[in-house]
Amino acid sequence: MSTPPIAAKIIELRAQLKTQFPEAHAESRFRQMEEPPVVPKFGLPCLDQHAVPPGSVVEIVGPRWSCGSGLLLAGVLEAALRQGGYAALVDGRDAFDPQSLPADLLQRLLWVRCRKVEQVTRCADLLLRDGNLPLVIADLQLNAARDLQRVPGSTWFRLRALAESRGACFFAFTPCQTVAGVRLRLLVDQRLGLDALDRPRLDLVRSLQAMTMIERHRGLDSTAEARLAKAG
Amino acid sequence: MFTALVIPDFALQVASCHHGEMRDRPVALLEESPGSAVIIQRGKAPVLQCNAAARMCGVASGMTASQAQARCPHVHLIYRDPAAERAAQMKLLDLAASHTPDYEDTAPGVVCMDWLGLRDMQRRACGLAGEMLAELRGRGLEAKFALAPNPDLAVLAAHLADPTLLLPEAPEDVRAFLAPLPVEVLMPDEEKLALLRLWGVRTLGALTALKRAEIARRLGRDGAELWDHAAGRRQRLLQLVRPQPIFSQSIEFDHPVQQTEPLLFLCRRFLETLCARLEGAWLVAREIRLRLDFENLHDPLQPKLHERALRIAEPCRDVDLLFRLVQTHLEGVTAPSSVTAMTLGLEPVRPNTHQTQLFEGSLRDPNRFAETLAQLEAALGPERVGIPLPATTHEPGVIALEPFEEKEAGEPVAGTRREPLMLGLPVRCFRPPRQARVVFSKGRPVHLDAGEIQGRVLDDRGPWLLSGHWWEPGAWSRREWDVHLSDGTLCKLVFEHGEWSLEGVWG
Repeated sequence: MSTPPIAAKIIELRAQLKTQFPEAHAESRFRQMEEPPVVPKFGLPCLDQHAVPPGSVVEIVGPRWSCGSGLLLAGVLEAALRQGGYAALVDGRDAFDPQSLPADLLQRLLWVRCRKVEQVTRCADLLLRDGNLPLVIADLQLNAARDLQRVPGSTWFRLRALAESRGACFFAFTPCQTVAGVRLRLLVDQRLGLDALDRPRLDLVRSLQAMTMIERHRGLDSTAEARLAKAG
Repeated sequence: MFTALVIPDFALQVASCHHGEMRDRPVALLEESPGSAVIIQRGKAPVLQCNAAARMCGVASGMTASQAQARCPHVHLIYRDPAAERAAQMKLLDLAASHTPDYEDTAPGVVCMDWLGLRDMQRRACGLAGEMLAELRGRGLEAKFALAPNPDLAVLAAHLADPTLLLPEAPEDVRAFLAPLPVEVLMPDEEKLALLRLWGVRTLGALTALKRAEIARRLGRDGAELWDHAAGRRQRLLQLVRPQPIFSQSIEFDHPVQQTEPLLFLCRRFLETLCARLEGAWLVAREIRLRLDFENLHDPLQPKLHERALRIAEPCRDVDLLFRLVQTHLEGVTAPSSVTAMTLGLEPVRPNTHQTQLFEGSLRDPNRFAETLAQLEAALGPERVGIPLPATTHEPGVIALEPFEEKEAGEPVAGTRREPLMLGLPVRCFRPPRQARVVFSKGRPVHLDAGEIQGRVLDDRGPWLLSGHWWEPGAWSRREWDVHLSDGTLCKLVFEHGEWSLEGVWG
């Protein structure tokens, strides 16, 4: 059974790198004793079915105005704050409504009110670099897509590196596919009606559905792994 | 050797020192304030102190004003003046400080001085006493002076002085010497004083006539100390008054400064000095207070100064950390003109002694986080970063932020607690709201045009009528509609001040 040429090249490249730089690939003798990182549970079925360990970058794409991404954002915030920790919301267009969260949880939320995408990336950089907050959320849903596309890919990779090194989760809510190098990208496109305004928030959040656009585990992304598995 | 300076009936003397005409009249001081010479209107205030003329008429401390007036119709009743008492006490301490560096603020109207190491104290004591008493007499206060081998004996002897009493050695029979003094000179607490009066013990002689062991059994350790004090046996160290260090430095520039670098250089120098003072006093800094005075360009709209208090998350005296906070803040300040003066102060506080949680607290490094907050504020402005406060008004759109402060950590907020059930979708607000044009048909909205968001209305709810503050000039009133557009957008429309606006989108 032959391996697809691209995947084979990747495997060969990895082997060469391992030979060339053995110390970078050395397994720590303690690594086997280490427990796997605790994956936080958000109480959101659409999110909890994916492993989102600390240090992950997750992008939630909401292609429409009322697609449910705000609901997912509120759900993630509420779940994180209820666990007793702090969280930061870097608000791209100063759109957050404090009444969307229970009042007792607001004391643990740092609200950063930005107006431009550049401010969001700068503030997210500062907060991730700080390393004190386990969850940083950037809400770019109301920002213009053309402004988001002007953000260089290196910026997102830098934020990812900071999140991984500091062990913080970084969530980005965007109107279109924007963030490069994410661990998980979900598309939320729920059809909601005015009757949703009367339903309990918990029911709405639990009924949210999201499509997985990309999911990376350690090493190759899930699509490449699937291809390899099929070929091999 | 110790000397004591005592002003008898201190509160009364302070209240009446500026009223020379009251000197020969019966005067009684009431426990109440305000004012220093106000004829009483109420009859129930207790008499705190009274002069000799009032005592001769039968007025005594503890009786009510009406009782005092019944006994002595001509008695002048005056109020206490706490501010004047504090000022007089400061002057008394200044007087002691001008003669010796070791003195104690023993009680209101009482100061005790230590002359350890001073030779020929006995010879100098008379001259010293005369000097001090004359100084106080010039301020309208009559005092008494005493010299004794221990401070408590000096204070008690001062009460017996007329007006000076020198005891280079303790009397052979100290108890008999102090016997005539009233128990009030021991300054016991109210409860013990009432108990002693109940027992009929009114003088030190009556107290020391009782057995020490019996007093200790009934009044405890405090009672035993009281007995020792009355017998002149108590030995103690003075609690010396030391000048409070000042944790602030300022400078006025000969030439106005236009750049940040010189200010930062001076801030660093100031911080090094102030942190050294903190270290000497075993204190840490909780807050940095920075003030910049600007050059006056005769523009009434121009701010004259910039004042800011920078809170330190975890109080410390680390110069580098404090300097980084000041530097981050200064780099974000836009000065309207050149800086003519600068003041930098630290608010001192005792170091935190509680043990932090063993397993990971809320913030790993609060000071680092404080720096990050300062950088965020410098990038966005102080009103753009903080903790959102719950609304205290029904008026929509009112937002308040408070500076971030670490709360007590860590316990998960139980979902089973009684909390209001969250309903419905969250809203993303447009700030400011977007102008909208709404077309109505038969009283229902049928089309919305708000620029980017427009379309036919499939479903609507409303109108919701809200209003508030109708009793004030800032009354508000609005109509809200929730509409579902053909493209699936759920909009929050508001009609206010005769215009439609799109305030946010649900979901």
